Amino acid sequence: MTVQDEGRRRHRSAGVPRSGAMDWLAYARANALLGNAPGEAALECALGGLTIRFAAHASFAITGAAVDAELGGKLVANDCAISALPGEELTIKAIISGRFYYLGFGGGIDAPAVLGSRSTYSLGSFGGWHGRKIERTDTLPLGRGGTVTGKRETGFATESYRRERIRVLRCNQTALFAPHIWRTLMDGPFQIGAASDRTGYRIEGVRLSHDVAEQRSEPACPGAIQLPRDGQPIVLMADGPTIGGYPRIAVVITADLPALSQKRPGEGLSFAEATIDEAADALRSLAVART
Amino acid sequence: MIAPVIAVDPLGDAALTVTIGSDGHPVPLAEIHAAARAIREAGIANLDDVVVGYTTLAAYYDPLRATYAEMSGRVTDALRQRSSAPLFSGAVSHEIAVRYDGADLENVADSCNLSVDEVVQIHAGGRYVVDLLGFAPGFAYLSGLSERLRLPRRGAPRTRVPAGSVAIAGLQTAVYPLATPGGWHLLGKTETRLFDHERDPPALLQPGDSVRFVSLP
Repeated sequence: MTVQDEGRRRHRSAGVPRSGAMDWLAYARANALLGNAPGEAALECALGGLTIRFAAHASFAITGAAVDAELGGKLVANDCAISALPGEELTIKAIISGRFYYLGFGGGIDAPAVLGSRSTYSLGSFGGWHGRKIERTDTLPLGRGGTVTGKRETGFATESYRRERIRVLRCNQTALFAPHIWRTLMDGPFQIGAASDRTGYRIEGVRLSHDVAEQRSEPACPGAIQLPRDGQPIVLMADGPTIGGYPRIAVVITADLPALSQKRPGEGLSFAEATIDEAADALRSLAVART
Repeated sequence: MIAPVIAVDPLGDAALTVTIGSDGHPVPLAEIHAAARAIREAGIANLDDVVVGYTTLAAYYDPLRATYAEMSGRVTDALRQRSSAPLFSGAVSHEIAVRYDGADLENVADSCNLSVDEVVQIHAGGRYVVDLLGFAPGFAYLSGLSERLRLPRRGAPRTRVPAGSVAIAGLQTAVYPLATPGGWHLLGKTETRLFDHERDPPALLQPGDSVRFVSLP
């Protein structure tokens, strides 16, 4: 569990990864439900159980992965702003589907910004809460502001997350690969590998063996699909490096990063080619849905 | 001399790449840095950052606020107005103290038909230039390694290289600012902090800077 926000967008030229929420849409929805300004920090949780005791009146919302949650012994729903009383306990018992859920709070988590962001970059031990994962007995201060809007959203999240075909764009290195490699990438099927984390998701299944030479180090971005010689793609994610030496065959569109990030190891997926206009349309439709 | 821009391509929908040069001939790295500077200094709305690679640069933006068509247009305009002002006018010379006791030192010596002492002398005798930053915060790709130490990357990358490791691969050398996976050959270790988020700028080494390594007894 780490503190995340929209990420560190202006220090990539010094080699600092963007970081930020893996599922940017669920994270943004939490802030919208709570009446927060966009960009307030939230908790990103990837493991099942946790208990939070509220020390003061607060509002919160759970978004992203569907969870089995209780506040003071009563069931609470995802995608809904809820008020908590001093002393009340919120317990997340298990994740029902998906991988990352977000706990947003009215006013956001008041952690100091490092290099322009409150996002935790664990590998670099900076940002978020002292540059590390939240530990038992940590007490997190909340900012002011935010109102319980009473807004409730249903349907949208599950629809979006059920997407198996992750849309990708061609990039400047796509032409390095023989056409049949691209066709195989589009045909699949693939599954998420076990060695998948905030840095990158390994993709297993059909091997895309190729003989493209190792490239000189070139800029990378979250969503970039690198293809090492072993033919097993790696999709760079939020904490992925700013520069990479493996040739990249495609880049996942921003609109489909939430669905991809929510897939667990072993879960199936395939890829489909999109155009830059389709990517923009897909993103616009999500951005409308989030507010 | 200003090289022609040959291609602007989407790098996903939140970044674009600019490839500079002609017919696949690589241009000097300084051309790419000059182009990056022109883009940074153009005051382009919604531009987040520019990252320089060896043959391309990438400009990053927020796709909720700007489209590829808008950004590629603004970037192309900025590149037309590139100045020929000198790059790296503030370049700094650094000396980095190294204890040469790296895990791969003997293997490197064997592979290069050199003694361990010769490897240390050659590496510490070199003068290196910061080509670009990336891979990890403050990681600087340094060029200028002697041909006598040229080796391909390790067959199997290490899952964890300790922070401060001084390493070589190909004709490059670098210091790992933090513990990360890595495939370079480890020659030694330094206490110098390559990246400190409380420092301004946080990265010690900047493109154009020069570096010498000093062997600690």
